[in-house]
Amino acid sequence: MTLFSLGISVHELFLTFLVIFLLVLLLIAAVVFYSFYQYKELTNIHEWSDLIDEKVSDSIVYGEDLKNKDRGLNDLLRFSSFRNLFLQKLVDSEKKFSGGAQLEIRKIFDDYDLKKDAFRRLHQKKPYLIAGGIQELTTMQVTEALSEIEAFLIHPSPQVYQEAQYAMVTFKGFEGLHFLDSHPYKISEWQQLRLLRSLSSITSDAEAMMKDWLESPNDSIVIFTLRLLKKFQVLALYDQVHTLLNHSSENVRIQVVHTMLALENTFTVDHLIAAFPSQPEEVQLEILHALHKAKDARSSVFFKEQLHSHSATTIKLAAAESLYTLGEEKYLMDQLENPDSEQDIKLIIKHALQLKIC
Amino acid sequence: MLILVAEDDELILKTIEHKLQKEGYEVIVAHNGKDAIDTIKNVTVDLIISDIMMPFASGIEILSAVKLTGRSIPIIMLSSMGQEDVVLNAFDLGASDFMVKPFSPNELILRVKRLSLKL
Repeated sequence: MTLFSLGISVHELFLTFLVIFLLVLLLIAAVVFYSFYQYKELTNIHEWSDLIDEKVSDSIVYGEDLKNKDRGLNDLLRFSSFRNLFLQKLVDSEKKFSGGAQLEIRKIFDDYDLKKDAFRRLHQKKPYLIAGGIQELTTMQVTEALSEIEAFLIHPSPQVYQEAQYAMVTFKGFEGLHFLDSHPYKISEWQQLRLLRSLSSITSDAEAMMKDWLESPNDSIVIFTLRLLKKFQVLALYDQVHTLLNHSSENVRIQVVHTMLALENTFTVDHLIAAFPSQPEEVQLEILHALHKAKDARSSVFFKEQLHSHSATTIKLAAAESLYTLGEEKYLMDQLENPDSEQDIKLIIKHALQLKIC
Repeated sequence: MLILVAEDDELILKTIEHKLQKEGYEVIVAHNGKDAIDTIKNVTVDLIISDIMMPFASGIEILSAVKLTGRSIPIIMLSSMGQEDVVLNAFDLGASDFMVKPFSPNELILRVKRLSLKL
């Protein structure tokens, strides 16, 4: 069967090919145009980045003297992609400097009225955009944004509520931690470190607040509070910390051991030794490490007991190392030379001595 | 007085360069550790401001390169938070001073002035 027998003329066939050809040409043109647009955007971003760097650098170095030297930035502000880049670069720049330089960067933010762009992001749907807006407003210390940011503490996206938590602490210091009173989600390790690092002092009512947080059903809040107590040396809450050695979470109990050591008093060694038998191996190991660091001669008998009677090799090894640190090298050597000593104890002591000597 | 500034962050580099020039110092810049070491070998600089972490060669390697020249050049190291061990190592190798990022350019100038008085 030929095309002609189907009733398709040469003319129609030519037209069909022509249409297909034009469509392909159109497609190629669209791809070329899009690539050019992308290239242009990339070039623009590169050029704009340099321009913004120059502006920031000028402002830091010359301050008010160069207030009117705008480097054409005002003309570029009509492009939203430029404003986004400008904001991002200012936030990045602010992290690189301190003192008067930071103030100059915040002044650029005000002078070019970038506040409204940052506020606009708070009303976006995508979590990363909202988080970006919170970060920008926080970095630029826009205190009027505080109430809007506070509302994001209960946002379902971790990216958003974590940024809001950080903002609250940045703006209000310790007072900003009030969200812990009823925070239902886990506070990640990274977020805990970030919050801890941004806090430089505690308030007069901090003790009462921290006492409540130690009773939180959210384990991550208890762990975070223990870290706060450790950082700010809140000795008054030692007894509350001590009772948490009976907490249901193993991770909490591990942090309790660290905090007890940081808040150490004359009873700490006795408290840790007394709690030891009822703890799982992981917590027992932490207790041994804590006693090791405490370097209290009263622990010597306890270490000897663990070396000989505990069933776990890791505990025996830690006990042997601690004995060495306490200056019981002679005792360990005697055990090695004693023909009645068990073979596995001798191996553990040799290993511990090797670790200590090397 | 000729100062070498070695820093891979363009904004920090430009800011230090312009700030020093405003204060009347002559400045040579290096965008990485290797360029800085080449400069030290070929040019007599009076003072060095160097970042610790840089591509191709670190601030620590710059300190070693200075030591090899046999000249006594004051060096201010710029380090990030949490690099205490590296900073201690830098002092062992002859660094004169250090500043932690984020840093104040004004404070850096004061430290440069203090060191230049000893030259």
